Amino acid sequence: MSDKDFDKIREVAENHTIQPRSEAWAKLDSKLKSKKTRVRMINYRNISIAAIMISILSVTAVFSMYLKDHDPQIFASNEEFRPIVLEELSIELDEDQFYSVANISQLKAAYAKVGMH
Amino acid sequence: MDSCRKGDAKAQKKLYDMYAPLFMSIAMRYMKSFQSAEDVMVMGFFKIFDNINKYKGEGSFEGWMKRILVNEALMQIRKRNNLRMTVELTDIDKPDDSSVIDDIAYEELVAILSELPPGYRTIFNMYVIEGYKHREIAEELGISINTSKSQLILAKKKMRELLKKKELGKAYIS
Repeated sequence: MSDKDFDKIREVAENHTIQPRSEAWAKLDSKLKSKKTRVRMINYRNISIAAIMISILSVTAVFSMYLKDHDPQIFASNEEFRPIVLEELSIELDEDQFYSVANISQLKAAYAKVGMH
Repeated sequence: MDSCRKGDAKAQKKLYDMYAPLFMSIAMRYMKSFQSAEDVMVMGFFKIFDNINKYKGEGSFEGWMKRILVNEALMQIRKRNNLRMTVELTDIDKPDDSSVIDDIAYEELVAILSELPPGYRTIFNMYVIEGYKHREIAEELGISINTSKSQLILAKKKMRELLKKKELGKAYIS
């Protein structure tokens, strides 16, 4: 076969068209639509996953802050516990074993001595 | 094309109407039946619309679309047939380069092409009609350049035989 034959074949092939059946477009259209739907579904799924992740992080952050604010250790550490030994006070007890109002000045002095007013 | 990029169905239909007859004709040369050619054309268009954003304007848009269609046809041929092409250039006699075609109709061409083995038909189509180089054919089909050349020579030989047979048939009938 010569180049002349090739040129003839090319010419015949390039100038010819064949009309496809009308069903071909319907088939293509349905493929394109299902692809669009699939892409949308993937986008929704990704957005949903992102929203769930953000929600989990937000709840964790809020809960963590709440726990921090209500941590009993923080209050315990801020308060310095100093026992007051009342036995050191030279307060004479009444006969009925109640403290006498007359000794109030001595009590005040005793509290002042341990730093409490 | 911008509307097609946005996925506008009307624009897609317009592009389809414009190129479907041409693409059917190309697919018919690669595939044996109308149905499989139509499947190739539909899948080709689907891939064109799916990848239209990848077309950066380098080369003609029609050329880009044709390449996608031919690749789809090659993929279908690979799926259906085993494209075994192992004959090397050294095993083949010198080809006869004399002219054999006076006039040929498209239907006759397609009929002759469909009688060629898939490997011959594919390389003949790619080289003679689509204008691919042997290097490009080798890359697309995963074969050596020499195999591509040898397959073309064998395809030409077979085509010559078929054309002669056809002419002899005509002479016999008349």
